[in-house]
Amino acid sequence: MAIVLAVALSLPFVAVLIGSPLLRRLALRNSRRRPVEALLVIGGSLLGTAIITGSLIVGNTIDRSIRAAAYDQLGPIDELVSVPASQAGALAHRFEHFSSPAIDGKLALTETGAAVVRPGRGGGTQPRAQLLEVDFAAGRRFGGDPAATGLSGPTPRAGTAAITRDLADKLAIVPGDRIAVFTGGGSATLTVDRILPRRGVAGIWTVDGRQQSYNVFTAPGTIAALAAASTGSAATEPPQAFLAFSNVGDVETGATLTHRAVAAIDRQLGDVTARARPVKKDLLDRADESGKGLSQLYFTVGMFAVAAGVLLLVNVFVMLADERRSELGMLRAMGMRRLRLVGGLATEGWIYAVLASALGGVLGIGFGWVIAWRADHILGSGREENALHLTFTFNWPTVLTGFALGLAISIVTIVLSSARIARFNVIQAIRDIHEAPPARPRRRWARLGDAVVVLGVGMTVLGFAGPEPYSIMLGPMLVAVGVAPTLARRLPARPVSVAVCAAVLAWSIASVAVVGTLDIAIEIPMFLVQGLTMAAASVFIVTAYLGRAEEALARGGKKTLPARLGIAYPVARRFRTGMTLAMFSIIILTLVYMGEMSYMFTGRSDEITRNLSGGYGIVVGSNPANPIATDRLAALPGVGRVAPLGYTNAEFTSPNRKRTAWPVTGVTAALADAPPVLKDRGHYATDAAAWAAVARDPHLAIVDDYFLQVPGGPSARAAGIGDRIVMTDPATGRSQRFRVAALGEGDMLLSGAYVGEPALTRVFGERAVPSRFFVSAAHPDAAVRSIRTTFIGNGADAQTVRSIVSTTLAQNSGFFTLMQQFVGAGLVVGIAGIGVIMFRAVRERRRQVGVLRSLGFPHAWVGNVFMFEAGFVAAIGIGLGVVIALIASYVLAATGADFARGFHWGVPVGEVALIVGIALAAAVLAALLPARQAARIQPAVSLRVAD
Amino acid sequence: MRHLTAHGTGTRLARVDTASRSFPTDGDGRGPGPLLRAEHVEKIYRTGAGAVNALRDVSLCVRNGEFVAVMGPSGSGKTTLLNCLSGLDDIDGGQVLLDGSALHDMSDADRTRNRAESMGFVFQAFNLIPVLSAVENVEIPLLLAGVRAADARRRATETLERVGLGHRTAHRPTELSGGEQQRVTIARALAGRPRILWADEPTGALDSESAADVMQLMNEVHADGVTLVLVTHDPAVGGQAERMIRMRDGRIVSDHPATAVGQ
Repeated sequence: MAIVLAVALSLPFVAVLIGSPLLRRLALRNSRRRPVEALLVIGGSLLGTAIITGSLIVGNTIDRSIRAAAYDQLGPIDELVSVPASQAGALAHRFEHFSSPAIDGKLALTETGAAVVRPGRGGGTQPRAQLLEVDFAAGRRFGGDPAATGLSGPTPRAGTAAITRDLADKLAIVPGDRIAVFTGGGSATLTVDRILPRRGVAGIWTVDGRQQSYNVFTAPGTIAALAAASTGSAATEPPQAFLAFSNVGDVETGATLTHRAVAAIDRQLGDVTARARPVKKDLLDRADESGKGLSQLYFTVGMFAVAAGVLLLVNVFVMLADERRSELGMLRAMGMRRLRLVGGLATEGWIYAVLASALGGVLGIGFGWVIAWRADHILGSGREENALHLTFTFNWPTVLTGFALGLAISIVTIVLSSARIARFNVIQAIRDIHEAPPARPRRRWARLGDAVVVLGVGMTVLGFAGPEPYSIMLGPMLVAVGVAPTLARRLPARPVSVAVCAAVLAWSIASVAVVGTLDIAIEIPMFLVQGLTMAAASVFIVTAYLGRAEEALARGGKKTLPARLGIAYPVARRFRTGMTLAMFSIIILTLVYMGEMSYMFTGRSDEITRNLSGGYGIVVGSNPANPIATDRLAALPGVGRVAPLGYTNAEFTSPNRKRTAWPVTGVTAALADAPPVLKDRGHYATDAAAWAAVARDPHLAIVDDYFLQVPGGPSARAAGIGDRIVMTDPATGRSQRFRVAALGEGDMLLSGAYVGEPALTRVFGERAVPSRFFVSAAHPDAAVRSIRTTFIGNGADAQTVRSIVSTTLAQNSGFFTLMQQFVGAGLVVGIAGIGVIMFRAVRERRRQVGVLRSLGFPHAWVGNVFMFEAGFVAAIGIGLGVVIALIASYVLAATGADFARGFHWGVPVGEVALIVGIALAAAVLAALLPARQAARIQPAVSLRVAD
Repeated sequence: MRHLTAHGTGTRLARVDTASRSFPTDGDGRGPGPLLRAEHVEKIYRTGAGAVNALRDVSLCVRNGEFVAVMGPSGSGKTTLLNCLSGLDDIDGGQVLLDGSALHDMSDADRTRNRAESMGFVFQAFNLIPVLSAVENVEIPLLLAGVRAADARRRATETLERVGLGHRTAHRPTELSGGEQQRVTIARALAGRPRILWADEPTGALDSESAADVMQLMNEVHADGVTLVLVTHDPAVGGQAERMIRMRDGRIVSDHPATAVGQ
């Protein structure tokens, strides 16, 4: 689509270049006229495309990294059917003569959860592993590509095991080593006879979403023997029998037949309480969705930098036009129509845009690589089951799309700028007289304003009635902007404009918080709208009063003369100054705002820990096939209160989310004794009452704001209080409806949705065993160590809530930093902008510099004038960005809207100082070269030579 | 009275105490002796196409209070001569002595300071700073000379009143006519009470009426004792000077009283 658009937009320029020798000559020669400036323009413009391309490549990388699991952990497996192992025979019999044109293979496996220990001194433990039995010969035939199955050698003999590379690496095992496997209440010691790759059938992993596969393949009958040895002290999840199906085609193309395959399998299942799970397609869909989610996040955040690039282009074109006023006027005087003039100017811009977009597309690959590299560190850190390791990938269609989007944005900007530039008075242009703007807006502007008011009122009303957040944000602003022309016809224009901008700024700052208080989830694009409107309004206000600074300096005499002259130009050229201020303020406000968010999130560490903990402070997971017995856990010295929780993987749907795999936790009334603190307890008087109601009522659930969210930052909430959600057992298809009773505090513990234990059992049957626990302890760290050691055979995985929160917040903070670095690239746009402006300023003012020098202005002062001008504009833009970001974040924190609830406002002084310092230093450095150029101007030469 | 050291020569150049004089000059520093002497001045422009001898062995003397017009066809070296004599441009041979001090032996800083304190310039293209108002343009040399901001503003306003632009002080150059802009330029040149005023085609861009106004102003300036060196190709303008120097191909071809030239 973007490519078609870019080609369509480019066609007129190609036509001009081919069909109009005059315009071609003008465009080509003008574009070569100032090589350094052309390079700066291209440099500043290409960043927009680079940022767009980079964000799209992040999507490629995330998609590919998740998609890799299709090869690593599924291979030829497209669908799975699972039943308790006790029903394996019946299942096999049902599918004995099964065939479908969509399916080319089936394979039986038996699986149970296990903890694996490497005995001896220095031995390690893997609490969550799978013990699997499969006929290796049949496995290699499965799917038609033995290499894709990862299986090699014969089926392990009794007492031996083939383990995956992940497990071998984790426990430092080599063939010949012995391992102890704990499951079903029993244990076995096995000798490892080979290491298998994490690939295909060998890599199958059904426990959770982690990228690793900790598999132990053992001799048939081992699992049954271990299950039979169960002491019966606690309910255990029974072993599962899997029937895996391979669709016709390779690893990815087979997924296209999923719909037909699932239908055929489900028909064959008949009255068996099981259903076909399209595991491959689900994974590929999740890869797509996650890739798009993160890509969109970076795309949206990158739009701030793209906006800065657009402003740079506008600025460059306005300056170009200023420089060429006389020649443009002459062209018009000689009979060139305005449209052709626009065409000539825009064609020159199109040449820059094509070059910039092409280079930007290539640079975007580098951007994407850097982000992927940094994101891998962040996403790959923390808890393994939640980690995602990235493998950098890009494809050329993505780069082409980035190029096309960047080009399309540039073309639209260039055409609009050129059209605006071409509206001049011919005589005034030839004589290089600047036209004063009309004292009062014309009547047609007032009429247009009236239409905008009507539109704004309509959007406001519909926005609040909806509620629709963007209409709420923009509607009142449009009303304010719309009344301006009419007011300015009756009242002095500047106070009217300033008052309107102040109103827009005030609403812009407040609007996100207002949307949040209306119980609408705050989405990332809202910050884009807020940021751009805040920057626009504040820049307008500041430029209206820039003259005050000049007046103040005028009182300083000789000492302030360079500074005064430095300010004089930005004050006089308000449009271009405004554009530059906007460039800087947009980028800086985004950087500071993100810094604020990160700071406030991290500042909530103690509060989040308290809220998630409730009366507990430790989360303990264990192997459902061999869970910790609650009474044994409670009896452990140092352990206080224990709340047992059922925990399994489910699928949920909500009013605005399709079927999504999500964990579920079953709670009992015991949790209500010291419940976690809820973010919103709905109509319940206390948090305890809400938890007790959920534990008791099989139709109530507690979810959180991040329920069913894909990666990519905050987006529309999946379910609010009172909404209906449906939970389904992916293995059997059994489902249950729930009403959301309350909202919890985030999901850093990966609990998923909370439902009552009875509801969990009703849907998941004997697989819903309590295998997870909230535990209190006087000394949490000591208790964690004790639990891990004592219940090693149960696959105990204990962590303090504080450490989980700390790790998650560190990840969040890392993510904010990464986004800041991404947007920070936009600073280069601002700096390039300053460079372009200063180079052009030196060229424009050669004669004036000559005059100043002839009047006795020292050459060093001439340089100072330009340095001061650059520093002044950058400092104002940076200051604006900082102030607006601080105010907006304060308002968000003060109102406690949506995810900002509990935020305590503060200023990360060091970080803000660093941002300001870097931006200011870079801007001044950008002006250094042109300033030196100006200082070297020889007065006689500049007075003699006009150009 | 303070003194400046003329860098490189060891000579001392008398500095006029600008604050002690009233507009345009009270006669301090004036006298019958030479103010400026050029000896065998050469100026060569080197371009990609080769070298152009813009000034060839030019020697002349300008006395205090004199009104000299430099005339000649385009490309004869008039403007180059003005730039070299005023120190705006470097020379490739000979020397220019201002009050006995070799101007081109001075450092750039000293030459710059000398310009600020002793010279005023008027150009054909006006060359006003477009983003400053008329009075702000005029006060620049005063501020450069270290006059306090309030005093500079007052004196700039007075100077503009003297050139008939008291009512246009707050206007920017683009809001003024060509004649008015040139009068602002003259006011700017005179505001610092220079000893010598250099004017390069001051009427070249003006209609006849405005040109007449400007020349009347120039004559008033001269009458008040300011040394005036004016470059022009207009005989009517040049004819108002006391002395006329004619140039051709970078050489002085005649140097006579203007009346003699007229005759």
